[in-house]
Amino acid sequence: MSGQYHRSHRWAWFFERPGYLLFMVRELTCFFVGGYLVVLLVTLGKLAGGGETALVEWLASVSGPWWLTAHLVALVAAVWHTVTWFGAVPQAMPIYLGENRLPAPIAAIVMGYGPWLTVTAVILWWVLR
Amino acid sequence: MSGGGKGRGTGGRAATGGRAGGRSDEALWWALFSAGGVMAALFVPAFVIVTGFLLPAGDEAVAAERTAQFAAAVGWWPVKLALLGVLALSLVHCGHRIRHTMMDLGLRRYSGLLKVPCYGGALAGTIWAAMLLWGI
Repeated sequence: MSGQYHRSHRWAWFFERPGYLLFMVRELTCFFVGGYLVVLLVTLGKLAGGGETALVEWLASVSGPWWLTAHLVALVAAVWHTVTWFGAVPQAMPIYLGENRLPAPIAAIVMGYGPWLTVTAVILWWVLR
Repeated sequence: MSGGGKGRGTGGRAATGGRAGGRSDEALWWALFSAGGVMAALFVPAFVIVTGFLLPAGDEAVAAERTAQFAAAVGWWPVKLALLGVLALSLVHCGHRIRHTMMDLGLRRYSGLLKVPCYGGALAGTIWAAMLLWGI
């Protein structure tokens, strides 16, 4: 016995309210992000194991439509994680200027969306330049 | 960043899924979860665009040039260190979230047992990443 009380609920409780469903969708993004991280490790492994030749071969093999679709799903999940994560930042870490609490949208932009867009822009600029 | 657990109340989830009474290691996992959540939020979308679309697609000459550039960047030690940190924290973040999602879907009684695949997998992935990056 754990000594904790847990209210019983249906297995599919997350269908009961739209808010619960959004919560579960947010939680499930981690499976796709995790799956992508494994693919990224494999990609780095090709470079470590066989150098650029092996990496080029591997990248050619992941350029098919199924792989592109998988990456698109991973991208949507990753962006959804980012949007919901930084959306929660103003609640998790409220900023006060004197007596006044910084409005949530401004806090989210300053603490989350701004840095995210900056990091993304720098990485993409670096690859595309 | 701390306090990531505060945003997770929607599903009726208790922030402490660990042992009742005595000390719990949940605080450590929540802290790592929060740090990893920030890392994943900042970097993973850009990573997916780069390795999923920019490197594989395009004509061969462009792909070869980008791949060489990518290899050079990943071979630079500050990038290796940063990448290792981002990967380690993101993996723990995913492991923690998967564990708690499993608990929410009815496996709460196995919360202790679930630590083995979730955090063990994250640790294994981190060691794998360290070995790979060392070899690049």
